[in-house]
Amino acid sequence: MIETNPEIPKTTQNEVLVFFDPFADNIETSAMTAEDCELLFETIETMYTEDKVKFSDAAEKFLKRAKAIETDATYLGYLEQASWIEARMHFMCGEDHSLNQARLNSGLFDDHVHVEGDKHDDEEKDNKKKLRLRRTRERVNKTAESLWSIIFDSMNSNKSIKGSK
Amino acid sequence: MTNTEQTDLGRTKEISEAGFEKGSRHTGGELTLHTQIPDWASEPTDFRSPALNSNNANDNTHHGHEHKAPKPASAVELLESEKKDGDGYVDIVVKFSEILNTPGLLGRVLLYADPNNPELGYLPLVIMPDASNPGRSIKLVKFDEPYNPETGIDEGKLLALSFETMAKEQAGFGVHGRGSFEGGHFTVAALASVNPKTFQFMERKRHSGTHKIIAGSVATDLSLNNLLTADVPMPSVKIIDVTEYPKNAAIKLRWREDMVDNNGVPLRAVHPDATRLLVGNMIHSLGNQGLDRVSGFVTLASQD
Repeated sequence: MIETNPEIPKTTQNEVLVFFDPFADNIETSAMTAEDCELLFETIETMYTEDKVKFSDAAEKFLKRAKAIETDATYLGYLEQASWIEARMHFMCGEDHSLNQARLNSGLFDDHVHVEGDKHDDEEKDNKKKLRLRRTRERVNKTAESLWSIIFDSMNSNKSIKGSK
Repeated sequence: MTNTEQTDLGRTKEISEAGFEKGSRHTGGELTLHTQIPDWASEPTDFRSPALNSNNANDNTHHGHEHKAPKPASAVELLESEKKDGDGYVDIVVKFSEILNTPGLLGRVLLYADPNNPELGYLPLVIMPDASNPGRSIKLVKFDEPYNPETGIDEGKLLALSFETMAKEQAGFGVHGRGSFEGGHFTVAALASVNPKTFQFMERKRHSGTHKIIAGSVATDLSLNNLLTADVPMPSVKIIDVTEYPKNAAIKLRWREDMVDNNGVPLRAVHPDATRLLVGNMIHSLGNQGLDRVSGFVTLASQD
């Protein structure tokens, strides 16, 4: 139960809050009272004062190493290779760099941003359109063929009728 | 226009000339990624200010530093700690149902107490929205290196927390163009080059798949797929659906007065170098063979 405090908004004064550990696997078993939380904080404070908390500066050390690697010759070689691949991907995604460079040189446009739904997605739409067109053509061709066959058949039958006369 | 060229590494490259010029111009020995502070993390509210618990929203000074006046945060239920020893800790109590609507909470570096492992001390934690389930889910990003009251939150811890918060579309990761290395797209290509599931997903979803993968957790994906070196300080990420908790369910975290930047503004996990160092580490650990695999994936994708 939370102690009454005149500065606390009404929602907490009228409601008994139940505290949960968001990292617990099971929501129901992780419920704690306000007193449980206070006790937990006190326990942690004791851990700090009794030097039982083991500190680490691994993240800080990583940061220094990572920054140092950025000037490493091997890394720069990999980065060059990665930039080739990235440029290919950029081009593949429908980006015309020559056109963009010309636009930038003209001074009329800012750097571009192209968004989702560019060449890759458009390609799928184009493929569907092409498929529809091909099927329509096939249907038209079949209809035309059957029409021609009817015409030829009727012409032939007329000839044979004439011949029989 | 397509060129074939030998690189310093003796590899033959086929690429549009303009594309390569862009690539080398923008890397030029330095990896540059477009980065921005996500909107959801852009308003640091000072929990110390009495404005939060009263109508006094004009009090914008603290310890001699001028702050942006904090917005009244009715959703935040703050209990000023008793400060028995003047230890500077402030308790942060927020209902699960109100986490996403609490100004100044998302992106802010807080302290988490693990009920099962109190000997770990307070662990740095950040809450952020989960882009794959907007409005319902949140991501809790925790770094298992204890907060040190003597030194505060160092840059390394901030960087570790930022691997998750900054490798997101809202932080510019995966955004095209802008004259920088497209780290998001390259990262997803690297993942697809080693992970068959990601490969199949990309094959099915194509370009839009990239954005869906970035909405997940690429930093964790990179680590799980051994695309980062073992020394990368990875945070652990937990996604929870806030609607699954009871109405009166709350979370109790802490914050300490020294967890501020040089201007006295409360720290946020938005380290500007996070994605650059993450992608740089990935490129370094990929090496020649790994980069060839990525290149192979790109070739396959372009032939579709």
